[in-house]
Amino acid sequence: MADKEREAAPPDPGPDQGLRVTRWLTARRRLPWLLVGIAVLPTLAVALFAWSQGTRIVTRDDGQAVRDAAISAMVAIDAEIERTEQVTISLASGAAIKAMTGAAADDRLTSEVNAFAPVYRQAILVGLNGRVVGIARRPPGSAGRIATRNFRGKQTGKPSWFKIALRNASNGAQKIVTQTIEPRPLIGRLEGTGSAPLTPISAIAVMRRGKAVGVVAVFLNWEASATIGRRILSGQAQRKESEQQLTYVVDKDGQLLLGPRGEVDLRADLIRDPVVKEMIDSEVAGYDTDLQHSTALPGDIVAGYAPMDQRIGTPPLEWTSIVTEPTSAALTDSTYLREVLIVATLVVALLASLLALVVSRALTRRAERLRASSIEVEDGAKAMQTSAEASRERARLTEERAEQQLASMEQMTELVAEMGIRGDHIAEAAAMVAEQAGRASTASEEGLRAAAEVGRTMSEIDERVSGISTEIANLATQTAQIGEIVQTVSSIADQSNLLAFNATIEAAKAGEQGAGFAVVAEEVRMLAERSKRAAAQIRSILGEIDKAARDTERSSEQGIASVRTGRERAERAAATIDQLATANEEAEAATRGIAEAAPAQVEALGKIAESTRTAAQRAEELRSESHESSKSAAELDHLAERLRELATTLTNE
Amino acid sequence: MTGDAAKVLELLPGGHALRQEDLIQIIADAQIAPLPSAGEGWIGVANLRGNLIGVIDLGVLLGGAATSNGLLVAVSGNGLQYGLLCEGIKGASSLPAADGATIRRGPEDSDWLQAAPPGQPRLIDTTLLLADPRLQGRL
Repeated sequence: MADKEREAAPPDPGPDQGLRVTRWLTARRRLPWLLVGIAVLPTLAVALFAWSQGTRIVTRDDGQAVRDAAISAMVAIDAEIERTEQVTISLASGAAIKAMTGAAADDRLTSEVNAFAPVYRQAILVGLNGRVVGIARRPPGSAGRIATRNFRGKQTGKPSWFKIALRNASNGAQKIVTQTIEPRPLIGRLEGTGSAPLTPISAIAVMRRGKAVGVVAVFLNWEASATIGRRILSGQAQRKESEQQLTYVVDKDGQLLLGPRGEVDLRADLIRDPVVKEMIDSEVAGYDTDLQHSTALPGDIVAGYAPMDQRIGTPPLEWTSIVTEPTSAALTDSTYLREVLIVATLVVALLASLLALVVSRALTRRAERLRASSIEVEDGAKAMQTSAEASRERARLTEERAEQQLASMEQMTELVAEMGIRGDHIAEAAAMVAEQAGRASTASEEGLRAAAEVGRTMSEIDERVSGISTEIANLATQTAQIGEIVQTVSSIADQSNLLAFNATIEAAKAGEQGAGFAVVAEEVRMLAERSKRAAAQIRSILGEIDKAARDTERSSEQGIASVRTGRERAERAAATIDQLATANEEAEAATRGIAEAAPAQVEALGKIAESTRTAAQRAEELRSESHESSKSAAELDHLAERLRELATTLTNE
Repeated sequence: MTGDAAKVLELLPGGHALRQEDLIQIIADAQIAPLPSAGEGWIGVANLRGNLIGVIDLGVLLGGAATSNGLLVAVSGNGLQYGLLCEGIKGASSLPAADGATIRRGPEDSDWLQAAPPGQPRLIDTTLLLADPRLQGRL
């Protein structure tokens, strides 16, 4: 049977292709070396390419071209400014600012512009990466400066721009001149030391690692010194570079001085012109505490705007002069690029190695887990076989139990039928019991009446015995009175006796004449003696009567007590009979309820018999299903055997 | 002394009797008034038909206890009337005539008690009784 079922099972598909590849990769640790090769070789190729390209960058001098473009833009702006010599700027309205910035007026920018508009003829908004990052102003008289203010904001990488707002003083026309300048990474590079012949009015954007990090404002007086002020755009960059910030100072000869931060006091050492000093003071007073003056770092990339100011006769600023040695700077750039590429290559190789190692470990762990899972699958297959055996055994037991249940159902059907017959008997017996209970109830009522009659009789006896006791008490009183009378009679008899003696004495003294009197006296004395004896007898009888009366009184008291006890018992008997009657009535009602419920019980037994037959049918079905379960368990056993063989194959491989 | 039978009055509690010729009257509930400074045997005086007579407690004189609630028997002896207080009267009877001699039965016997055969009461001589030494004081 089991062999047939195994033959009917589907064929073994064998290990899939993905699993074979995974085993090949994890075997002998081929994968880490493969990944290292894949990651490092292209990196080395890119590095070589970058090396050659870096050389070409230096050769082409793209930074120079960008600088030329920037200078051209600045010159155009300056020319525009020159053409609007008589134009003053008023940016007091938020709408004008919005027109310049393309965004809602910033409160801070509005206040800045409004504060400086009456003073400066021109205001130059400096944008970097699409956002207004500062404002540069030039005061009237061409002796002013461009002050920049930076504003916080993210850099989006969009081209930077300059916007100059102009208004004609004669007709009030307002004009906005916009020039964009795209920051390039290699416009110029500020060396660690050196000088740059800057024009009195300059605005310089400071780049670092290819990102604009600030704007440098040059406060320059052609007669005195000048300073470079710089605002850090990003607080994060400021924090990182704070320890390396240096101070740049341009003196009156245009020499750029460089020193560590804090070593140069701008106002004390460099600002000798009262106008410049006032300007710087107001600027510093208006700036936030995070204003950093001249904080460009060595190696920063500097781009800038250096408009020519013809009025003060200063020659135009040559951007190349910022880079003290353009050729060497370009070479330095090339060297810097090579260094960057080498470092980047090493970093990439290291990262690729780490990645390969991580991936290799992950795959190895996965293979181990797969092997462990195969073992678990094999164990699971064994457990499944065991479960299949258990299921088959349970199915067999279930079938046996179903047969037993079927037999039990048949017995139960017979028992239910018998119970139905007995239910009829119960109904008949309940009716008889109800009838007997009715009779008992009638008897209880009669007993209750008899008990009441006994109670009344006892009460009458009590009254009569109490009357007898009273009569006996009266009799005792009368007997006592008779005793007193008898005592009087006895006393009279004694006195009569004495009187007779005295008469006899007197008769004796009288001699012969007193003989007859002596006889009479003797008769009197004898009569007195008889009276005394009679009195004694009466007293004896009275004593007996008194004793009998006392005994009778005592008996009467006992009789009264007995009668009262009997009456109480009769009352208790009446109460008991009453309770018995109540219990009989309840029993009669309950029995009648049983008799009435018996048909319903018989009907319910009939339903139970029907349900039992249904259950028997289901037991038969269960036996069939158990048989089918046994077959399924055999099939499951076969599948588990196949699964175990497959897991054994995976484990061994 | 021999002769006719003598009529006597037997006294209670028994054993003694008085001759009928010595009797004067039997008095019940006699009022006896004690007399100060009287002799040992006299207990007081009583009223007998208007005359005061001395009263002797016979029980004491016979060596017994004092008599209470007894009868007073008035007798005469040696021409003197006096009373004998006794417990009661048993009855009248007749005794054979005695020889008249006084018989002493023991050293305690008095002279005024006459001898009597067994079963018979001894007669009290009311004359000799007055000679009893216990009655010789003032009355």
